[in-house]
Amino acid sequence: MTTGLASVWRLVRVLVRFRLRHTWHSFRRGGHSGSRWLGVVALLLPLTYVGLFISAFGVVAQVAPWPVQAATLSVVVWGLTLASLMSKITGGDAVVAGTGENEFFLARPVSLPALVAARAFASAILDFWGSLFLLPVLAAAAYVWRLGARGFVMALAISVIVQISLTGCGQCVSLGLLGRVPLRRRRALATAFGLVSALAVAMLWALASFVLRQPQQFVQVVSPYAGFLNHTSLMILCNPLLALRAGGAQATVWLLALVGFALASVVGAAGVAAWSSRRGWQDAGLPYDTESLSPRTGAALSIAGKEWRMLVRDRARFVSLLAMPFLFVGVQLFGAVGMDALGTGPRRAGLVAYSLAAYLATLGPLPHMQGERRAFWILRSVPVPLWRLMWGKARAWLWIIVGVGLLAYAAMTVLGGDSLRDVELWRTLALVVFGSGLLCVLAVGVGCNAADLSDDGRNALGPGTVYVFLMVAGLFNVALLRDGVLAARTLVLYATAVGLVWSTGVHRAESALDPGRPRPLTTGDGALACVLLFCGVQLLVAAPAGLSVQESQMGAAVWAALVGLGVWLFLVSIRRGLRRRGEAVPALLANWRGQALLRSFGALVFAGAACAGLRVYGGAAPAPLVMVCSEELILRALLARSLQQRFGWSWRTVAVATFVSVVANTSALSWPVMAVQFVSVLAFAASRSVLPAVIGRMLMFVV
Amino acid sequence: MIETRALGKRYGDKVALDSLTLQVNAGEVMGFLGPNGSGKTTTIRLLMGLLRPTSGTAQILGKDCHSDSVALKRVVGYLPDEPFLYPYLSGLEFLEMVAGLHGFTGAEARRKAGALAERYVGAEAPRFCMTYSHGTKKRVALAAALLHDPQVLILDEPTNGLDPMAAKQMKDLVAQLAREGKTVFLSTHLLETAERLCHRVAIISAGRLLAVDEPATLQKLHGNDGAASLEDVFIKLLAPPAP
Repeated sequence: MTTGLASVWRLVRVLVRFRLRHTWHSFRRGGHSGSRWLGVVALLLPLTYVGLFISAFGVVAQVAPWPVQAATLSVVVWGLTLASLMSKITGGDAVVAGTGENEFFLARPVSLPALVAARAFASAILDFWGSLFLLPVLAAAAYVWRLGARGFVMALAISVIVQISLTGCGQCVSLGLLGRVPLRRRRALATAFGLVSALAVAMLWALASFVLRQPQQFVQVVSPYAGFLNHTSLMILCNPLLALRAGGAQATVWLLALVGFALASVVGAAGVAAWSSRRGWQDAGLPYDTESLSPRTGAALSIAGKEWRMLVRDRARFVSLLAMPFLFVGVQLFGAVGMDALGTGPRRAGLVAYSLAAYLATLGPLPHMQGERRAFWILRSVPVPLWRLMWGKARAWLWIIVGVGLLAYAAMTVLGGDSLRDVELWRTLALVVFGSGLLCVLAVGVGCNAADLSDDGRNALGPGTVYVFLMVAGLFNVALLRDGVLAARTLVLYATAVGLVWSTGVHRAESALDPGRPRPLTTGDGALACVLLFCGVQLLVAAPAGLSVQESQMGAAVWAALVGLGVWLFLVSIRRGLRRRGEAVPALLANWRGQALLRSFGALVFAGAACAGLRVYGGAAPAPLVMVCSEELILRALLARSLQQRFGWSWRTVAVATFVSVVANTSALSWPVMAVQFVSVLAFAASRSVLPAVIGRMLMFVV
Repeated sequence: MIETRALGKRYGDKVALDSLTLQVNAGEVMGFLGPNGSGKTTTIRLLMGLLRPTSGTAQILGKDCHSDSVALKRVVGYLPDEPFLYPYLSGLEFLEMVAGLHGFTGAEARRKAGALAERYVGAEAPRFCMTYSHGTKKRVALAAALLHDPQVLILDEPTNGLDPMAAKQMKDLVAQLAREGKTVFLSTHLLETAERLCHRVAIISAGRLLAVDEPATLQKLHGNDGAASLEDVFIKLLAPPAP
């Protein structure tokens, strides 16, 4: 017994020490520098949940008596715990038995029960956020109940102890069940587990949204059951904290009870592991069967057919895709607007349906290159142009994404009782179909553009890709929100931008396997920046109610400044990359005048953003200046030059294309504005430099 | 048939391939020899249009490997060093998909895929590719390379990772393809394979072509007594110059 405990303790130390070291090294030397900093931001994000729960529990404490507060806390804690347990079961060691790390450890003098027990204990440190999963809720309760530092420590201890218990229970269940189920049914069982786990997470999300956004309504739901809940063992997880609030005498006893349960679950998991290893644990971990697939008939397997098969057979991805609508609908129903999402007209339904389609696209067509990985060689070895293969993928997803968007829209309009004679209903329907269709093309294009398949050791897509996609896709909402010419201009601009992103993406995908491929200025970059500028400004102008014209202009200028700043940083990073590879640097980025121009742009844009943000100026005086700088950076320094590079167009053609995009982008279109733009385009075409165009526009603005 | 002129590829500061000029004639089996990291796979990927050359050109059957890559792939078959397959497709489905991409219609695609699967993959063909051993994956990839009956075959380390039986089958197959008049460009670091199969061999190191000729001629030129093996020649060419 003592030897066994020593063995477990030694293994815990080894696991913790080397995993932390590995994490630190991978952070320091990680491939995507952006992803590293995104990881740091992600580490800080959960802190915001503490604030949100404090706010929600503050409301609960105001409106509900003590027993209802306790029951409310218990319901939320159990929601979190069950969702976490399900994810522990699906990610348990039985499911991933064949991993390299397991093989590595089991090839040493380490028994499986010791490994399972050590993992459960080590998870308290290694699964950092997992260990703290209850902390935001419990700490918020401790804060609201004024329990001080002792309350916070108690919350932390409960969260860590429950985490160890859940890891033990999860391994116990997964090892036990998968060890008993025949091999041919194991895949189905694992898929079912995954589905239940995803649904549990979806329910949790809905529950958390409900509590955070509508705490008063949540209290009303819980109140009738508070008496019952307070007299059941369900309160065990919250009892240490509740006892502390009641005076503290029983708090340590309840905490020790939780510790006892955690130890029992780990011992149980170790026992099941010992039994499982005798039955052939390695075999129990196979996530798939080896049965033969039936021969198929019909046409040859197309790219679309391949995509569908891969989706249905890849259980993790399939389950995520199935769970997404539940998650989304749950958040919508229990979110800020609640059931009001139904019955507020076709436009609201259109926005929700389109957003659902956009989120689905992040799981489907966007990561399509992740599914290819290095199997992409076969698509590059067949005599079919890459654009046709990618179009096949987009077509495969069209059915799913447009279908789901359409279904969601139909369901909401039917439940909302919208009249079929309403022209608005049919207009929005057409926009939802068009927008969802474009989403598939955009997602495949963005996925192609960002994919780097040259290194097996890292993801094909960086984490920023999803955010870029969602930001651009979300801005189609302008077309759903606005009417008339503005909506039409949005559609044209959006479709053109998607076309350019697609063209760039397919072009860049041709060298996705090339680790040394250059990162030039692309038309996709220019198009994305244009869409971000135009649609973002439009949303800011249209969406907030009760803003003055000056405030709207200020908001638009801040947005333009941020996009402009992003473009400036991007241009600077491109210049560095080109120089590092010893390749020709575009004149704009190479000579001192270009650099000075970029720096002054950056300084102006930054100053504009700062001034607008701090409201140093009483009015919106700097707003047009900032807009001019940002527009010039986006439309001429980025879009025009990338068009010239990509298609080899003459400067005249580029100038005309830029003029069209400027006119399409201008928020308030009028003849004087068009005249100003025309003159600046002439200046740009004649000088092939952005500076005269900026000066010209500035002068005309002053005059 | 295959022609490269001053073909070069750099990864940042690192020169992976330095001005390679090489010609492979019709019906010839050309062995491409070199130590690990010498630029063999880079060359093959450049020939297949998977990488963009930093300098120079490569042509197969008069078609540029980069700008004409789609047309080129109708007549070229490619076997990569590590053939990654779609994990959730069976070998048979994978071959059917490749047949479809080569333009074969449903029945014909199934017939071709079925015949090749039976010959190269056997009873494992209806199972998921994720269950395959390295050797089976390689056989599926070879079947995919042969599916459209190409004139030119580009094989990257075809016997790498195969057991002796499978390696022997692969070598016999290459010999048979050569007898059928196919042009074969194969990279390997197994000198015995090159000596047995290839009409000519090219030796490359650190991205530079060191020698290209028939194995016997190389042995005569670089052997001290004219009786050196290809291994001796290889080691002599790669050895650093004496101080």
